[in-house]
Amino acid sequence: MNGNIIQTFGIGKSYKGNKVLQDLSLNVQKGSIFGFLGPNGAGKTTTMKILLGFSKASEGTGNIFGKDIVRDGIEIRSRIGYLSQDPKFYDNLSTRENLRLTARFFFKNDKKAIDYRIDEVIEITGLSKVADRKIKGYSGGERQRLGIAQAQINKPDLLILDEPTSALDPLGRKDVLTVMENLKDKTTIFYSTHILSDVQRVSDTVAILNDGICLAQGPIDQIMNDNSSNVFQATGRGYFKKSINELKSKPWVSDIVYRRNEEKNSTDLHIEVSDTREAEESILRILMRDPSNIITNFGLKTYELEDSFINIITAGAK
Amino acid sequence: MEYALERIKLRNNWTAGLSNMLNAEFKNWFLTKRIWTQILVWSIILFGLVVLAGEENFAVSQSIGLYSTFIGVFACIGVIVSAQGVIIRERRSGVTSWLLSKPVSRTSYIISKFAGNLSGYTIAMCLVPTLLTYTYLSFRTGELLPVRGLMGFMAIVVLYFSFYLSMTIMLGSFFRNRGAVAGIPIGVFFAESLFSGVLPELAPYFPSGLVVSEGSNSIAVDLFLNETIGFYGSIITTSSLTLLFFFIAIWRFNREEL
Repeated sequence: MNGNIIQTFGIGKSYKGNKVLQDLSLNVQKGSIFGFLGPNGAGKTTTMKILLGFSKASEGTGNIFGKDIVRDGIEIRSRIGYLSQDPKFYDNLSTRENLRLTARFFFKNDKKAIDYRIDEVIEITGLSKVADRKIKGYSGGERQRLGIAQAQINKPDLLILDEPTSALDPLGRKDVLTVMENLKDKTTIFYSTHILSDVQRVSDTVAILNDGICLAQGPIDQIMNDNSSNVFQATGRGYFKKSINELKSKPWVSDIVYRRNEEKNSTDLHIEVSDTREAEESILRILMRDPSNIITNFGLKTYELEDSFINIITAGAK
Repeated sequence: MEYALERIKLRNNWTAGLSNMLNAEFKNWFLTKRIWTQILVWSIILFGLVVLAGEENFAVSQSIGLYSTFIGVFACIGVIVSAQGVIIRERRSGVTSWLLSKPVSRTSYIISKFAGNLSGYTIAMCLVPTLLTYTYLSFRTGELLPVRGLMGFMAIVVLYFSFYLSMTIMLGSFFRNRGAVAGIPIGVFFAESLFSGVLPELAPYFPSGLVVSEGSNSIAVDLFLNETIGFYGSIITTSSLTLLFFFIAIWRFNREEL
Protein backbone atom coordinates (compact mmCIF):
# COMPACT_ATOMS: atom_id res chain seq x y z
CA MET A 1 0.00 0.00 0.00
CA ASN A 2 3.07 2.33 0.53
CA GLY A 3 1.08 4.71 2.72
CA ASN A 4 -1.41 5.20 -0.10
CA ILE A 5 -5.04 4.53 0.67
CA ILE A 6 -6.16 4.96 -2.93
CA GLN A 7 -4.02 4.15 -5.94
CA THR A 8 -5.17 4.10 -9.52
CA PHE A 9 -3.11 3.14 -12.53
CA GLY A 10 -4.09 4.65 -15.85
CA ILE A 11 -7.83 4.47 -15.32
CA GLY A 12 -9.95 5.44 -18.29
CA LYS A 13 -13.65 5.44 -19.04
CA SER A 14 -15.50 5.75 -22.31
CA TYR A 15 -19.21 6.02 -22.97
CA LYS A 16 -20.19 5.15 -26.52
CA GLY A 17 -16.73 5.98 -27.78
CA ASN A 18 -16.60 9.26 -25.91
CA LYS A 19 -13.67 9.36 -23.47
CA VAL A 20 -14.77 10.92 -20.21
CA LEU A 21 -11.72 9.88 -18.21
CA GLN A 22 -8.21 9.29 -19.47
CA ASP A 23 -5.16 7.66 -17.96
CA LEU A 24 -5.92 8.71 -14.40
CA SER A 25 -3.27 7.74 -11.86
CA LEU A 26 -4.12 8.92 -8.37
CA ASN A 27 -2.21 8.50 -5.14
CA VAL A 28 -4.13 9.40 -2.02
CA GLN A 29 -1.99 9.28 1.11
CA LYS A 30 -3.28 7.90 4.37
CA GLY A 31 -4.52 10.64 6.68
CA SER A 32 -4.81 13.28 4.00
CA ILE A 33 -7.75 15.45 3.02
CA PHE A 34 -7.50 15.05 -0.70
CA GLY A 35 -9.40 17.60 -2.78
CA PHE A 36 -10.39 16.33 -6.18
CA LEU A 37 -10.82 19.54 -8.06
CA GLY A 38 -12.30 20.29 -11.43
CA PRO A 39 -15.06 22.09 -13.25
CA ASN A 40 -18.45 20.44 -13.73
CA GLY A 41 -18.22 17.52 -16.15
CA ALA A 42 -14.49 17.05 -15.58
CA GLY A 43 -14.90 13.38 -14.62
CA LYS A 44 -14.82 13.62 -10.82
CA THR A 45 -18.04 11.72 -10.17
CA THR A 46 -17.12 9.11 -12.79
CA THR A 47 -13.85 8.50 -10.94
CA MET A 48 -15.68 8.08 -7.65
CA LYS A 49 -18.18 5.71 -9.21
CA ILE A 50 -15.32 3.58 -10.51
CA LEU A 51 -13.65 3.54 -7.10
CA LEU A 52 -16.90 2.45 -5.45
CA GLY A 53 -17.66 -0.24 -8.02
CA PHE A 54 -20.76 1.51 -9.40
CA SER A 55 -19.12 1.68 -12.78
CA LYS A 56 -16.37 -0.32 -14.46
CA ALA A 57 -13.26 1.33 -15.85
CA SER A 58 -12.77 0.86 -19.59
CA GLU A 59 -9.04 0.66 -18.97
CA GLY A 60 -6.57 0.65 -16.11
CA THR A 61 -6.77 -0.72 -12.59
CA GLY A 62 -6.95 0.60 -9.08
CA ASN A 63 -6.85 -0.40 -5.47
CA ILE A 64 -8.08 0.91 -2.16
CA PHE A 65 -6.40 -0.28 1.06
CA GLY A 66 -4.25 -2.40 -1.28
CA LYS A 67 -7.34 -4.30 -2.49
CA ASP A 68 -8.54 -4.45 -6.06
CA ILE A 69 -11.48 -2.10 -6.72
CA VAL A 70 -13.26 -4.61 -8.97
CA ARG A 71 -12.62 -7.93 -7.24
CA ASP A 72 -12.68 -6.82 -3.60
CA GLY A 73 -15.53 -4.29 -3.70
CA ILE A 74 -17.39 -5.64 -0.67
CA GLU A 75 -14.30 -5.64 1.58
CA ILE A 76 -13.38 -2.16 0.41
CA ARG A 77 -16.86 -0.77 0.97
CA SER A 78 -16.95 -2.22 4.47
CA ARG A 79 -14.18 0.27 5.35
CA ILE A 80 -15.50 3.25 3.41
CA GLY A 81 -18.06 5.95 4.07
CA TYR A 82 -19.60 7.52 0.98
CA LEU A 83 -21.65 10.63 0.46
CA SER A 84 -23.10 11.17 -2.98
CA GLN A 85 -23.60 14.53 -4.63
CA ASP A 86 -27.35 14.43 -4.06
CA PRO A 87 -27.78 12.06 -1.11
CA LYS A 88 -30.96 9.99 -1.07
CA PHE A 89 -32.29 7.70 1.63
CA TYR A 90 -35.54 5.99 2.55
CA ASP A 91 -37.89 8.97 2.85
CA ASN A 92 -40.42 7.05 4.91
CA LEU A 93 -37.86 6.44 7.65
CA SER A 94 -36.43 8.85 10.20
CA THR A 95 -32.76 9.77 10.49
CA ARG A 96 -32.38 7.28 13.31
CA GLU A 97 -34.03 4.48 11.32
CA ASN A 98 -31.95 5.19 8.21
CA LEU A 99 -28.81 5.17 10.33
CA ARG A 100 -29.85 1.93 12.03
CA LEU A 101 -30.32 0.31 8.63
CA THR A 102 -26.89 1.57 7.55
CA ALA A 103 -25.19 0.41 10.75
CA ARG A 104 -26.60 -3.10 10.38
CA PHE A 105 -24.54 -3.53 7.23
CA PHE A 106 -21.39 -3.23 9.32
CA PHE A 107 -22.05 -4.28 12.89
CA LYS A 108 -23.61 -7.34 14.44
CA ASN A 109 -24.12 -5.89 17.90
CA ASP A 110 -27.35 -5.71 19.81
CA LYS A 111 -29.59 -2.67 19.54
CA LYS A 112 -27.98 -0.83 22.48
CA ALA A 113 -24.46 -0.74 21.03
CA ILE A 114 -25.70 0.32 17.61
CA ASP A 115 -28.00 2.96 19.08
CA TYR A 116 -25.08 4.34 21.04
CA ARG A 117 -23.08 4.77 17.83
CA ILE A 118 -26.10 6.32 16.11
CA ASP A 119 -26.43 8.86 18.93
CA GLU A 120 -22.75 9.70 18.53
CA VAL A 121 -22.99 10.52 14.83
CA ILE A 122 -26.29 12.36 15.31
CA GLU A 123 -24.56 14.52 17.88
CA ILE A 124 -21.51 15.15 15.66
CA THR A 125 -23.64 16.19 12.70
CA GLY A 126 -26.08 18.27 14.76
CA LEU A 127 -29.18 16.30 13.82
CA SER A 128 -30.43 15.71 17.36
CA LYS A 129 -33.55 17.84 16.99
CA VAL A 130 -34.80 16.11 13.86
CA ALA A 131 -33.44 12.60 14.47
CA ASP A 132 -36.85 11.00 14.97
CA ARG A 133 -38.66 12.85 12.22
CA LYS A 134 -39.26 11.20 8.87
CA ILE A 135 -36.74 12.63 6.42
CA LYS A 136 -39.31 13.38 3.71
CA GLY A 137 -39.48 17.09 4.59
CA TYR A 138 -35.78 17.61 5.31
CA SER A 139 -33.99 20.66 3.95
CA GLY A 140 -30.96 20.27 1.70
CA GLY A 141 -28.67 21.00 4.63
CA GLU A 142 -30.32 18.42 6.88
CA ARG A 143 -30.13 15.83 4.15
CA GLN A 144 -26.45 16.61 3.66
CA ARG A 145 -25.83 16.25 7.40
CA LEU A 146 -27.61 12.92 7.36
CA GLY A 147 -25.40 11.99 4.42
CA ILE A 148 -22.32 12.74 6.44
CA ALA A 149 -23.75 10.92 9.47
CA GLN A 150 -24.43 7.74 7.54
CA ALA A 151 -21.03 7.93 5.87
CA GLN A 152 -19.39 7.97 9.29
CA ILE A 153 -21.51 5.37 11.02
CA ASN A 154 -19.01 2.55 10.41
CA LYS A 155 -16.00 4.59 11.59
CA PRO A 156 -14.54 4.39 8.09
CA ASP A 157 -10.86 4.40 7.22
CA LEU A 158 -11.73 6.40 4.12
CA LEU A 159 -14.48 8.91 3.44
CA ILE A 160 -15.40 9.52 -0.18
CA LEU A 161 -17.48 12.67 -0.51
CA ASP A 162 -18.84 13.80 -3.85
CA GLU A 163 -19.32 17.59 -3.86
CA PRO A 164 -20.24 17.67 -0.15
CA THR A 165 -20.74 21.44 -0.02
CA SER A 166 -21.95 22.41 -3.46
CA ALA A 167 -25.68 22.41 -2.62
CA LEU A 168 -25.33 24.24 0.67
CA ASP A 169 -25.65 27.85 1.75
CA PRO A 170 -22.56 29.53 3.28
CA LEU A 171 -23.48 28.48 6.82
CA GLY A 172 -24.13 24.90 5.81
CA ARG A 173 -20.84 24.86 3.91
CA LYS A 174 -18.99 26.15 6.92
CA ASP A 175 -20.54 23.41 9.08
CA VAL A 176 -19.62 20.65 6.67
CA LEU A 177 -16.06 21.92 6.31
CA THR A 178 -15.73 22.04 10.09
CA VAL A 179 -16.93 18.44 10.34
CA MET A 180 -14.35 17.48 7.70
CA GLU A 181 -11.59 19.27 9.58
CA ASN A 182 -12.61 17.53 12.80
CA LEU A 183 -12.42 14.15 11.10
CA LYS A 184 -8.94 14.75 9.77
CA ASP A 185 -7.16 12.84 12.53
CA LYS A 186 -9.56 9.92 12.37
CA THR A 187 -9.83 9.12 8.70
CA THR A 188 -8.61 9.85 5.18
CA ILE A 189 -10.95 12.07 3.18
CA PHE A 190 -11.16 12.01 -0.59
CA TYR A 191 -13.66 14.56 -1.82
CA SER A 192 -14.56 16.26 -5.04
CA THR A 193 -15.47 19.88 -5.43
CA HIS A 194 -15.37 22.84 -7.74
CA ILE A 195 -15.33 25.33 -4.86
CA LEU A 196 -11.71 26.44 -4.65
CA SER A 197 -11.96 28.25 -1.35
CA ASP A 198 -13.16 25.03 0.31
CA VAL A 199 -10.15 23.17 -0.99
CA GLN A 200 -7.79 25.88 0.15
CA ARG A 201 -9.36 25.82 3.60
CA VAL A 202 -9.34 22.11 4.39
CA SER A 203 -7.24 20.16 1.90
CA ASP A 204 -3.60 19.25 2.18
CA THR A 205 -3.40 17.50 -1.19
CA VAL A 206 -5.17 18.16 -4.46
CA ALA A 207 -5.59 16.77 -7.93
CA ILE A 208 -6.92 18.95 -10.72
CA LEU A 209 -9.02 17.29 -13.36
CA ASN A 210 -10.33 18.79 -16.56
CA ASP A 211 -12.03 17.08 -19.50
CA GLY A 212 -11.19 13.71 -17.97
CA ILE A 213 -7.46 14.43 -17.75
CA CYS A 214 -5.55 14.90 -14.52
CA LEU A 215 -3.54 18.10 -15.04
CA ALA A 216 -1.81 18.32 -11.67
CA GLN A 217 -1.56 16.40 -8.44
CA GLY A 218 0.32 16.98 -5.21
CA PRO A 219 0.44 18.87 -1.92
CA ILE A 220 -1.58 22.05 -2.16
CA ASP A 221 1.42 24.31 -1.38
CA GLN A 222 3.42 22.69 -4.12
CA ILE A 223 0.60 23.11 -6.64
CA MET A 224 0.37 26.79 -5.80
CA ASN A 225 4.13 27.37 -5.82
CA ASP A 226 4.65 25.52 -9.08
CA ASN A 227 2.33 27.96 -10.68
CA SER A 228 3.48 31.10 -8.96
CA SER A 229 6.23 31.70 -11.58
CA ASN A 230 8.88 34.11 -10.33
CA VAL A 231 7.02 37.29 -9.80
CA PHE A 232 7.90 39.88 -7.18
CA GLN A 233 5.36 42.40 -6.10
CA ALA A 234 6.17 45.88 -4.79
CA THR A 235 3.74 48.56 -3.69
CA GLY A 236 4.53 52.07 -2.64
CA ARG A 237 4.04 55.80 -2.92
CA GLY A 238 5.89 57.60 -5.73
CA TYR A 239 6.31 57.09 -9.46
CA PHE A 240 9.22 54.60 -9.49
CA LYS A 241 10.22 55.77 -12.98
CA LYS A 242 14.00 55.74 -12.38
CA SER A 243 13.79 52.41 -10.58
CA ILE A 244 11.78 50.82 -13.37
CA ASN A 245 14.32 51.94 -15.96
CA GLU A 246 17.15 50.52 -13.89
CA LEU A 247 15.32 47.23 -13.31
CA LYS A 248 14.59 46.89 -17.04
CA SER A 249 18.32 47.01 -17.75
CA LYS A 250 19.00 43.99 -15.52
CA PRO A 251 19.45 40.70 -17.41
CA TRP A 252 17.48 38.70 -14.77
CA VAL A 253 14.34 40.84 -15.15
CA SER A 254 12.01 39.29 -17.74
CA ASP A 255 9.05 41.63 -17.52
CA ILE A 256 7.66 44.51 -15.49
CA VAL A 257 3.98 45.35 -15.17
CA TYR A 258 3.35 48.82 -13.78
CA ARG A 259 0.03 50.04 -12.37
CA ARG A 260 -0.50 53.55 -11.09
CA ASN A 261 -3.36 54.66 -8.84
CA GLU A 262 -3.36 58.48 -8.90
CA GLU A 263 -6.13 58.80 -6.34
CA LYS A 264 -4.14 56.95 -3.72
CA ASN A 265 -0.78 58.11 -5.05
CA SER A 266 0.14 54.47 -5.12
CA THR A 267 2.12 52.37 -7.56
CA ASP A 268 1.95 48.64 -7.92
CA LEU A 269 4.83 46.80 -9.60
CA HIS A 270 4.88 43.19 -10.76
CA ILE A 271 8.42 42.19 -11.65
CA GLU A 272 8.89 38.82 -13.32
CA VAL A 273 12.42 37.51 -12.95
CA SER A 274 14.52 34.63 -14.20
CA ASP A 275 16.82 34.47 -11.17
CA THR A 276 14.91 34.60 -7.89
CA ARG A 277 17.98 34.74 -5.69
CA GLU A 278 19.52 37.68 -7.51
CA ALA A 279 16.14 39.40 -7.57
CA GLU A 280 15.64 38.92 -3.83
CA GLU A 281 18.98 40.57 -3.14
CA SER A 282 18.68 43.43 -5.61
CA ILE A 283 15.10 44.58 -6.26
CA LEU A 284 14.42 46.19 -2.91
CA ARG A 285 17.85 47.86 -2.92
CA ILE A 286 17.20 49.34 -6.39
CA LEU A 287 13.75 50.59 -5.41
CA MET A 288 15.02 52.25 -2.26
CA ARG A 289 17.90 53.95 -4.00
CA ASP A 290 15.43 56.57 -5.24
CA PRO A 291 14.44 58.60 -2.14
CA SER A 292 11.11 59.64 -3.74
CA ASN A 293 9.91 56.04 -3.52
CA ILE A 294 8.25 54.97 -0.29
CA ILE A 295 7.90 51.19 -0.23
CA THR A 296 4.89 49.91 1.72
CA ASN A 297 4.94 46.30 0.65
CA PHE A 298 7.43 43.99 -1.02
CA GLY A 299 7.80 40.25 -1.57
CA LEU A 300 7.43 37.23 -3.82
CA LYS A 301 3.91 37.29 -5.16
CA THR A 302 1.79 34.65 -3.42
CA TYR A 303 -0.88 32.98 -5.48
CA GLU A 304 -4.29 31.81 -4.38
CA LEU A 305 -5.38 28.37 -5.42
CA GLU A 306 -7.78 30.03 -7.84
CA ASP A 307 -4.85 31.55 -9.78
CA SER A 308 -3.11 28.18 -9.93
CA PHE A 309 -6.32 26.44 -10.91
CA ILE A 310 -6.97 28.86 -13.76
CA ASN A 311 -3.33 28.66 -14.89
CA ILE A 312 -3.40 24.86 -14.90
CA ILE A 313 -6.77 24.58 -16.63
CA THR A 314 -5.80 27.22 -19.21
CA ALA A 315 -2.44 25.56 -19.89
CA GLY A 316 -4.18 22.18 -20.14
CA ALA A 317 -6.65 23.54 -22.66
CA LYS A 318 -3.79 24.77 -24.86
CA MET B 1 -21.12 4.06 28.99
CA GLU B 2 -19.40 3.21 25.72
CA TYR B 3 -20.10 0.04 23.78
CA ALA B 4 -17.56 -1.81 21.66
CA LEU B 5 -18.92 -2.39 18.21
CA GLU B 6 -18.40 -5.79 16.70
CA ARG B 7 -17.89 -5.71 12.95
CA ILE B 8 -19.44 -8.26 10.63
CA LYS B 9 -16.74 -10.23 8.85
CA LEU B 10 -17.51 -9.47 5.26
CA ARG B 11 -16.29 -11.40 2.29
CA ASN B 12 -16.54 -10.65 -1.37
CA ASN B 13 -19.41 -13.01 -2.07
CA TRP B 14 -23.00 -12.75 -3.23
CA THR B 15 -24.52 -13.06 0.25
CA ALA B 16 -22.95 -9.81 1.52
CA GLY B 17 -25.59 -7.59 3.10
CA LEU B 18 -28.40 -10.05 2.34
CA SER B 19 -29.85 -10.44 5.83
CA ASN B 20 -29.98 -6.69 6.41
CA MET B 21 -31.48 -6.03 2.99
CA LEU B 22 -34.12 -8.71 3.58
CA ASN B 23 -34.82 -7.25 6.99
CA ALA B 24 -35.30 -3.79 5.45
CA GLU B 25 -37.65 -5.12 2.77
CA PHE B 26 -39.75 -7.09 5.25
CA LYS B 27 -39.95 -4.08 7.57
CA ASN B 28 -41.00 -1.93 4.64
CA TRP B 29 -43.87 -4.31 3.98
CA PHE B 30 -44.90 -5.52 7.39
CA LEU B 31 -44.03 -2.77 9.85
CA THR B 32 -45.85 -0.05 7.97
CA LYS B 33 -49.48 0.53 7.12
CA ARG B 34 -48.70 -0.66 3.61
CA ILE B 35 -49.53 -4.28 4.41
CA TRP B 36 -52.86 -3.37 6.03
CA THR B 37 -53.84 -1.18 3.09
CA GLN B 38 -52.98 -3.93 0.62
CA ILE B 39 -54.80 -6.59 2.65
CA LEU B 40 -57.89 -4.41 2.84
CA VAL B 41 -57.87 -3.55 -0.87
CA TRP B 42 -57.28 -7.11 -2.08
CA SER B 43 -59.68 -8.70 0.36
CA ILE B 44 -62.41 -6.36 -0.83
CA ILE B 45 -61.59 -7.00 -4.49
CA LEU B 46 -61.04 -10.77 -4.43
CA PHE B 47 -63.20 -11.99 -1.57
CA GLY B 48 -65.82 -9.34 -2.22
CA LEU B 49 -66.22 -10.42 -5.85
CA VAL B 50 -66.63 -14.07 -4.83
CA VAL B 51 -69.34 -13.14 -2.34
CA LEU B 52 -71.10 -10.91 -4.84
CA ALA B 53 -70.83 -13.38 -7.72
CA GLY B 54 -71.48 -16.53 -5.72
CA GLU B 55 -75.18 -17.13 -5.55
CA GLU B 56 -76.57 -19.59 -3.04
CA ASN B 57 -76.95 -22.27 -5.66
CA PHE B 58 -73.42 -21.78 -7.02
CA ALA B 59 -71.42 -25.00 -6.58
CA VAL B 60 -68.31 -24.73 -4.39
CA SER B 61 -66.14 -25.78 -7.33
CA GLN B 62 -67.63 -22.93 -9.38
CA SER B 63 -66.95 -20.43 -6.60
CA ILE B 64 -63.35 -21.63 -6.26
CA GLY B 65 -62.90 -21.49 -10.02
CA LEU B 66 -64.23 -17.95 -10.05
CA TYR B 67 -62.03 -16.89 -7.16
CA SER B 68 -58.97 -18.47 -8.78
CA THR B 69 -59.65 -16.64 -12.03
CA PHE B 70 -60.07 -13.35 -10.16
CA ILE B 71 -56.62 -13.89 -8.63
CA GLY B 72 -55.24 -14.86 -12.03
CA VAL B 73 -56.48 -11.65 -13.62
CA PHE B 74 -56.72 -8.90 -11.00
CA ALA B 75 -53.98 -9.91 -8.59
CA CYS B 76 -51.62 -10.66 -11.48
CA ILE B 77 -52.08 -7.15 -12.85
CA GLY B 78 -51.75 -5.87 -9.29
CA VAL B 79 -48.38 -7.61 -8.94
CA ILE B 80 -47.13 -6.17 -12.23
CA VAL B 81 -48.27 -2.61 -11.52
CA SER B 82 -46.99 -2.67 -7.97
CA ALA B 83 -43.64 -4.28 -8.87
CA GLN B 84 -42.87 -2.10 -11.90
CA GLY B 85 -41.10 0.49 -9.74
CA VAL B 86 -39.27 -1.93 -7.46
CA ILE B 87 -35.93 -1.47 -9.23
CA ILE B 88 -36.54 1.66 -11.29
CA ARG B 89 -37.87 3.86 -8.50
CA GLU B 90 -34.88 3.28 -6.21
CA ARG B 91 -32.38 3.49 -9.03
CA ARG B 92 -33.80 6.77 -10.28
CA SER B 93 -34.01 8.30 -6.82
CA GLY B 94 -30.43 7.37 -5.92
CA VAL B 95 -31.39 5.02 -3.07
CA THR B 96 -29.85 2.07 -4.96
CA SER B 97 -26.50 3.87 -5.18
CA TRP B 98 -26.68 4.66 -1.49
CA LEU B 99 -27.40 1.06 -0.53
CA LEU B 100 -24.78 -0.36 -2.88
CA SER B 101 -22.14 2.00 -1.49
CA LYS B 102 -22.39 -0.21 1.60
CA PRO B 103 -21.00 -3.75 1.72
CA VAL B 104 -23.99 -5.17 -0.15
CA SER B 105 -23.73 -7.39 -3.20
CA ARG B 106 -25.97 -6.65 -6.13
CA THR B 107 -27.22 -10.22 -5.99
CA SER B 108 -28.37 -9.63 -2.40
CA TYR B 109 -30.16 -6.51 -3.58
CA ILE B 110 -32.17 -8.41 -6.22
CA ILE B 111 -32.90 -11.35 -3.90
CA SER B 112 -34.18 -9.03 -1.19
CA LYS B 113 -36.44 -7.18 -3.62
CA PHE B 114 -37.84 -10.45 -4.90
CA ALA B 115 -38.29 -12.10 -1.49
CA GLY B 116 -39.63 -9.01 0.27
CA ASN B 117 -42.21 -8.20 -2.37
CA LEU B 118 -43.24 -11.78 -2.96
CA SER B 119 -43.98 -12.22 0.74
CA GLY B 120 -45.98 -8.99 0.77
CA TYR B 121 -48.03 -10.00 -2.28
CA THR B 122 -48.49 -13.50 -0.90
CA ILE B 123 -50.02 -12.26 2.34
CA ALA B 124 -52.04 -9.38 0.91
CA MET B 125 -53.20 -10.88 -2.39
CA CYS B 126 -53.30 -14.56 -1.58
CA LEU B 127 -53.20 -15.65 2.07
CA VAL B 128 -55.77 -13.34 3.64
CA PRO B 129 -58.32 -13.25 0.77
CA THR B 130 -57.99 -17.01 0.29
CA LEU B 131 -58.51 -17.72 4.00
CA LEU B 132 -61.59 -15.49 3.93
CA THR B 133 -62.88 -17.29 0.86
CA TYR B 134 -62.08 -20.68 2.41
CA THR B 135 -63.97 -19.77 5.61
CA TYR B 136 -66.90 -18.39 3.64
CA LEU B 137 -67.16 -21.50 1.43
CA SER B 138 -66.76 -23.82 4.41
CA PHE B 139 -69.64 -22.03 6.15
CA ARG B 140 -71.73 -22.28 3.03
CA THR B 141 -71.19 -26.02 2.65
CA GLY B 142 -71.44 -26.62 6.38
CA GLU B 143 -68.14 -28.50 6.51
CA LEU B 144 -64.45 -27.63 6.44
CA LEU B 145 -62.97 -27.88 2.99
CA PRO B 146 -59.70 -29.91 2.82
CA VAL B 147 -56.79 -27.96 4.28
CA ARG B 148 -54.30 -29.79 2.08
CA GLY B 149 -56.13 -28.54 -0.98
CA LEU B 150 -56.08 -25.02 0.42
CA MET B 151 -52.29 -25.19 0.91
CA GLY B 152 -51.77 -26.57 -2.60
CA PHE B 153 -53.95 -23.81 -4.06
CA MET B 154 -51.94 -21.11 -2.33
CA ALA B 155 -48.61 -22.67 -3.36
CA ILE B 156 -49.70 -22.51 -7.00
CA VAL B 157 -50.85 -18.90 -6.65
CA VAL B 158 -47.47 -17.97 -5.14
CA LEU B 159 -45.72 -19.65 -8.09
CA TYR B 160 -47.92 -17.64 -10.44
CA PHE B 161 -47.05 -14.38 -8.63
CA SER B 162 -43.35 -15.35 -8.70
CA PHE B 163 -43.48 -15.66 -12.45
CA TYR B 164 -44.79 -12.13 -13.00
CA LEU B 165 -42.71 -10.64 -10.21
CA SER B 166 -39.46 -12.14 -11.52
CA MET B 167 -40.32 -10.98 -15.04
CA THR B 168 -41.04 -7.44 -13.84
CA ILE B 169 -37.85 -7.29 -11.77
CA MET B 170 -35.83 -8.64 -14.69
CA LEU B 171 -37.26 -5.96 -16.97
CA GLY B 172 -36.54 -3.35 -14.29
CA SER B 173 -32.87 -4.36 -14.45
CA PHE B 174 -32.86 -3.76 -18.24
CA PHE B 175 -35.02 -0.69 -18.70
CA ARG B 176 -35.25 2.70 -17.06
CA ASN B 177 -38.73 3.26 -18.37
CA ARG B 178 -41.73 2.19 -16.29
CA GLY B 179 -43.85 1.79 -19.41
CA ALA B 180 -41.68 -1.02 -20.72
CA VAL B 181 -41.35 -2.67 -17.32
CA ALA B 182 -45.10 -2.82 -16.75
CA GLY B 183 -46.20 -3.03 -20.38
CA ILE B 184 -44.32 -6.17 -21.38
CA PRO B 185 -45.68 -8.40 -18.57
CA ILE B 186 -49.20 -7.08 -19.15
CA GLY B 187 -48.68 -7.82 -22.85
CA VAL B 188 -47.54 -11.35 -21.96
CA PHE B 189 -50.62 -11.80 -19.78
CA PHE B 190 -53.01 -10.88 -22.58
CA ALA B 191 -50.95 -12.74 -25.19
CA GLU B 192 -51.50 -15.93 -23.19
CA SER B 193 -55.27 -15.61 -23.58
CA LEU B 194 -54.86 -14.84 -27.27
CA PHE B 195 -52.54 -17.76 -27.99
CA SER B 196 -54.67 -20.13 -25.92
CA GLY B 197 -57.36 -19.59 -28.54
CA VAL B 198 -55.05 -19.67 -31.58
CA LEU B 199 -52.78 -22.52 -30.43
CA PRO B 200 -54.87 -24.54 -27.96
CA GLU B 201 -52.29 -27.36 -27.88
CA LEU B 202 -49.80 -24.95 -26.21
CA ALA B 203 -52.28 -23.62 -23.66
CA PRO B 204 -51.58 -26.30 -21.01
CA TYR B 205 -48.00 -25.02 -20.85
CA PHE B 206 -48.91 -21.40 -20.20
CA PRO B 207 -48.58 -19.89 -16.69
CA SER B 208 -52.22 -18.79 -16.82
CA GLY B 209 -53.18 -22.49 -16.76
CA LEU B 210 -52.10 -22.48 -13.12
CA VAL B 211 -54.96 -20.30 -11.92
CA VAL B 212 -57.21 -19.15 -14.74
CA SER B 213 -59.99 -21.63 -15.47
CA GLU B 214 -60.94 -21.54 -19.15
CA GLY B 215 -63.12 -24.48 -20.07
CA SER B 216 -61.44 -26.90 -17.68
CA ASN B 217 -60.35 -26.34 -14.10
CA SER B 218 -57.00 -24.68 -13.49
CA ILE B 219 -54.32 -26.57 -11.56
CA ALA B 220 -54.95 -24.42 -8.49
CA VAL B 221 -58.66 -25.28 -8.51
CA ASP B 222 -57.95 -28.99 -8.94
CA LEU B 223 -55.66 -28.85 -5.96
CA PHE B 224 -58.21 -26.95 -3.87
CA LEU B 225 -60.84 -29.58 -4.66
CA ASN B 226 -58.38 -32.39 -3.91
CA GLU B 227 -58.66 -33.65 -7.46
CA THR B 228 -55.83 -35.27 -9.41
CA ILE B 229 -53.77 -32.96 -11.58
CA GLY B 230 -53.80 -34.29 -15.11
CA PHE B 231 -50.88 -32.40 -16.60
CA TYR B 232 -47.97 -30.53 -14.99
CA GLY B 233 -46.98 -28.52 -18.06
CA SER B 234 -47.89 -25.13 -16.59
CA ILE B 235 -46.04 -25.84 -13.36
CA ILE B 236 -42.87 -26.87 -15.18
CA THR B 237 -42.97 -23.95 -17.65
CA THR B 238 -43.75 -21.37 -14.98
CA SER B 239 -41.11 -22.64 -12.54
CA SER B 240 -38.44 -22.80 -15.24
CA LEU B 241 -39.22 -19.34 -16.60
CA THR B 242 -39.36 -17.86 -13.10
CA LEU B 243 -35.88 -19.21 -12.34
CA LEU B 244 -34.62 -18.03 -15.72
CA PHE B 245 -35.99 -14.50 -15.25
CA PHE B 246 -34.62 -14.38 -11.73
CA PHE B 247 -31.09 -15.34 -12.81
CA ILE B 248 -31.18 -13.00 -15.81
CA ALA B 249 -32.18 -10.17 -13.44
CA ILE B 250 -29.18 -10.93 -11.22
CA TRP B 251 -26.83 -11.27 -14.19
CA ARG B 252 -28.03 -8.02 -15.73
CA PHE B 253 -28.04 -6.03 -12.51
CA ASN B 254 -24.47 -7.09 -11.77
CA ARG B 255 -23.46 -5.43 -15.04
CA GLU B 256 -25.49 -2.29 -14.49
CA GLU B 257 -23.67 1.05 -14.36
CA LEU B 258 -25.12 3.08 -11.53
